[in-house]
Amino acid sequence: MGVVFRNRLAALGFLIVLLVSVTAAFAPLLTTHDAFQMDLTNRLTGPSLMHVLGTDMYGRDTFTRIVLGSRIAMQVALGAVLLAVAIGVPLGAVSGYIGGYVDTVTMRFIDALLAFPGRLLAIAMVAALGASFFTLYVAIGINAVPGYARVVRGAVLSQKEKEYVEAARMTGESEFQILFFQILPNCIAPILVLVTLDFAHAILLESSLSFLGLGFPPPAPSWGLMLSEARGYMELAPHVTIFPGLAISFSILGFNLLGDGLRDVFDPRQYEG
Amino acid sequence: MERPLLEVKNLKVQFKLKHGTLTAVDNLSLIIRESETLGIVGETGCGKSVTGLSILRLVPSPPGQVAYGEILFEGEDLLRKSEGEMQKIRGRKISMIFQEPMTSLNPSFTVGEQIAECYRIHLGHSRKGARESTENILKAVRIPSPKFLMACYPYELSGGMRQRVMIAMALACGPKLLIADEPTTALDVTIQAEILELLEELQKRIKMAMIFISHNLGVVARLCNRIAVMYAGSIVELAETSALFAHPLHPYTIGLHNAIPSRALRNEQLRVIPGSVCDLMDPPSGCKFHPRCFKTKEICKTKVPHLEEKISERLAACYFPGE
Repeated sequence: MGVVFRNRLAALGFLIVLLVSVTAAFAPLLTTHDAFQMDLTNRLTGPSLMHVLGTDMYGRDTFTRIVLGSRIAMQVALGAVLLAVAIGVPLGAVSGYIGGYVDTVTMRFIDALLAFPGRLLAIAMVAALGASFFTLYVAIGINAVPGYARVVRGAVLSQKEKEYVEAARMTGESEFQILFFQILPNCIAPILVLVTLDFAHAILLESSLSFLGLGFPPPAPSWGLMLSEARGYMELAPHVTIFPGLAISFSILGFNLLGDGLRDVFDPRQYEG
Repeated sequence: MERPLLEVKNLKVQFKLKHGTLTAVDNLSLIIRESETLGIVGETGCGKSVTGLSILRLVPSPPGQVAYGEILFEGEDLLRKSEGEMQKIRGRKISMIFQEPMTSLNPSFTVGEQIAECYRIHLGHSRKGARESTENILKAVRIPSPKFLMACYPYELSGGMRQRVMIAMALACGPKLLIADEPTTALDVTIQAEILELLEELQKRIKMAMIFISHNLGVVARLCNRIAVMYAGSIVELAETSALFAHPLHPYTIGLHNAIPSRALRNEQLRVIPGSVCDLMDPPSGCKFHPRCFKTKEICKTKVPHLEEKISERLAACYFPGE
């Protein structure tokens, strides 16, 4: 971990990710107002002592809504990434390890999935199934599956020829044990990088979906939805759109910086250059 | 006569490649008795390692396959066993150590975890029991502070240490047979001597048989009761160590023998065997050694010589054995 912090940008990314995660975890403790309480006498007010980031067109406190919105963003991202890892990693691992026809068929399936525009697929799934945490996990997670399958397949292909695999076979381990307990632990690095980067993608995709009205319905404090609702008032009160927008950019930036930093650490060749 | 521990009969291992079939081991038969050491020597690519791997049924398949033969271990044919049965034998009854100690350990786990794994798989030890057994076996391979070493990752160890760890892993479950595939080739000479000594001592203590594969005649001579000399996939001579060195029968053995550098012959050129190893895809007819042999006659080019008893207890595959 020390190596990660020697890279300043990665350290910054890590701090941002930490901040966003802590915010999401302890959201109710950090909020100052009720996120759903309207106050029509205080509409679209600018930042003040009472409302740190001002209020939206219904007089709701923007800071509170952004803090609570981090929960939605992080929860959807976490669910989607876990789902993608749970499907993509075993798929890629088995495909790479067995090789031959199994590999060809699996990889063509993955290619087909990859050929599908991810956003469109997500929109179609949410439109068909309606918005809930689970449909969002699936809709967003399915886009990340090919990435894991390919990365893990590649890593397994290079690891399975190593002598320690032969040595494990010699000690009488089964093929299943060898793949999942000998080889996969050596493929963690690229998976970890991808997880971090996919968090950023998932947050962005969730925001886009709710911006289009396909995420959680109002009055849910989703960042994308806040952006979309405040869009009409941009000339009157730009801060109402700017702050949720900043929240989205900020968290995505954090995950991307951390992901790039991790990649540099795990790949010594790039690190030197 | 008592039943041998391992009996390989007419083994033939082939690799089916794009441009033809390569016969890596051809009609190989050998016997290993309980607690004896058999050396297998030969040049690179003569099938020594493949023979070792096929006993454990670890020849990569495809492209490799055992085309023919029997491998009887304690009277049972290993080639007829299911994969599950083989997994119970590997590491438990037959173990193998490899040439490359630098890469044969999994970089993601500590040494202790990797050895303990053997105990847990085969002997069903508990976590704690496996730790204790691990400590004991590490002591047995003369590692100075086993507790400390168990917490180390492979990259923290030197080559000699890693080879000791590999030996510890191989011997963990008290196998009946150890196949040592050039275990000292990657080590420097002093460590090599230590490892050989260790193997010798452990073998006596555990009373296991050993197949020692090497291209180093000196190493084999020191360790083995009997030696099999391989050329192009077949055994060309098999004899007691002392007899083989005192009086080699097969021209190839004689050639190897002469090629050992000696202090008495300083400033002289090494007496090498002319030519190079034959193409295993398209071996020469008759005796595979005939193009390089110094006493080739007509029969050598047409008829394959079989491994037969030439003098008492001495087997050679040659029509004109002796010097």
